[in-house]
Amino acid sequence: MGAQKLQDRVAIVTGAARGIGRAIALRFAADGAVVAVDDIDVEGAGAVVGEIVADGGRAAAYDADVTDSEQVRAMVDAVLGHFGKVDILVNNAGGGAALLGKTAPFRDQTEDVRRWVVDLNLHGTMICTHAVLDHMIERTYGKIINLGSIAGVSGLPNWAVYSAAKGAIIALTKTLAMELGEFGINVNCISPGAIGCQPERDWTRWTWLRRGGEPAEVAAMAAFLASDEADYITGVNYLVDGGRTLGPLR
Amino acid sequence: MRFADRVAILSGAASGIGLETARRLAAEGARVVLTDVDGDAADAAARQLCAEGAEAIGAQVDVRRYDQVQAAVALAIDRYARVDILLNCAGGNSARVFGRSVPFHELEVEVIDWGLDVNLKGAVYFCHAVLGQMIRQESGVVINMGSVDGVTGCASPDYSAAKSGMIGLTKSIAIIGAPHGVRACCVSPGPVLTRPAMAKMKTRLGRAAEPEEIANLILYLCSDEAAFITGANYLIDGGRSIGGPY
Repeated sequence: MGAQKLQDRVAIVTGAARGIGRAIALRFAADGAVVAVDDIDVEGAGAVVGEIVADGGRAAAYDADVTDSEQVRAMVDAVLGHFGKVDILVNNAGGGAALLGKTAPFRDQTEDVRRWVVDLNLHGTMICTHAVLDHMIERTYGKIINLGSIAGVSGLPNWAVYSAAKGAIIALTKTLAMELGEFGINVNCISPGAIGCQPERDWTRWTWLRRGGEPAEVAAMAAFLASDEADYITGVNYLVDGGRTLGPLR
Repeated sequence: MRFADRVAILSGAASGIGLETARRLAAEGARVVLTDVDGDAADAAARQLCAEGAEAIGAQVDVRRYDQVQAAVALAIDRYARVDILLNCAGGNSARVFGRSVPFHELEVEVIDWGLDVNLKGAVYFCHAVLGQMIRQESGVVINMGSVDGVTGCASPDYSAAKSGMIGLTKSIAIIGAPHGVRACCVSPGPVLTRPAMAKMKTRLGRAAEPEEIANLILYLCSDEAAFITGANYLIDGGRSIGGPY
């Protein structure tokens, strides 16, 4: 049912070598899209492309660093050269200081790490969005899907900078929805919570549904928002969080 | 067929978003119980769905009457032995329904009561009447229809307060239901072309929605793909709630 909701759409998914980004790339391809799988981990991106192609889908790997506007510009140009258009951008690349092994309370967080986290999450989203906008405005079509986080809604101890950057992405989403609605471009945010990419964590204590979510469950929402079914949805932040924001478990 | 053999009960199902959602759920395999304060219209809608090959029954329910709510839920359980989906869709702007264009402070208390009762109390009644069955069967989804007005406010305080109340109701049903596999979501639409006047309301996309666009979101949230989603409010408003200068 509905297997081809994204037939022939061209989608760029950043940070798509693993986790939620990989799940989105696989889901989009399964729904008929041509997927530009972007990640600084080029081997990982290539492996995702391999999975998609083995399943009969269409995809190509790119290795643009989302914090580098020249690399992103070149990646977008290459996608346009290969596939002729960009219908969908998923700004998924991101992560906290944990990626550097430097998770810490804010008072102990160094300025270089703070700048790195803002750069990756917030500037990365802005750089990729900026790079596709002229094209989308010209075609008066586009679906931009940003990945927020419940950290950006509720905050998260030891993840202050990440929370701030994700909160900024939610505000960016709303502002871009205001600016771009008249051009037929939908801009939305998905805020996952407690997605079980870390199997060692006991997620049953984190969500009202007593489990961690699967990356595929976030990907399903991304596929919905990218489809024609969601044409009236713009400027929203949709939670996929197992009820995490309902407050402390009782 | 995302909803094969699921059983859905809907309020306000004889017209608009409720009817559209019933039709779509039925088209994807659900057995549907259409309730409406206009019992004849509910019956006619159910007959129409049956003629299209669906399994549907109609029932007269004024959501302000707990005995009628309870009877409809009992009918669903009696007929189909379970309830998988509850859509609380009955509602309306009281001042408009009663043709009262006076300022709120001059509005009759009876009109305010109608607004609060139909838009909020009826949904609380339906949740109360259905939850025991969903808990027993260890599964179920409750969709409460909010409104962009419940997020932004509007010139009809009883309506906006009731619709904000739907968000709180949703969170609490999510908390109560989670240990039993029962989810709850609120869907808050912006202007929808259930009436032509809606086309004049401002949105960032410069248009109002077709009812089927709201049904798209309701069906997604009811489906197994949304199994990790509970307790939140899902705006679908063409960007109306973000406001800003036009």
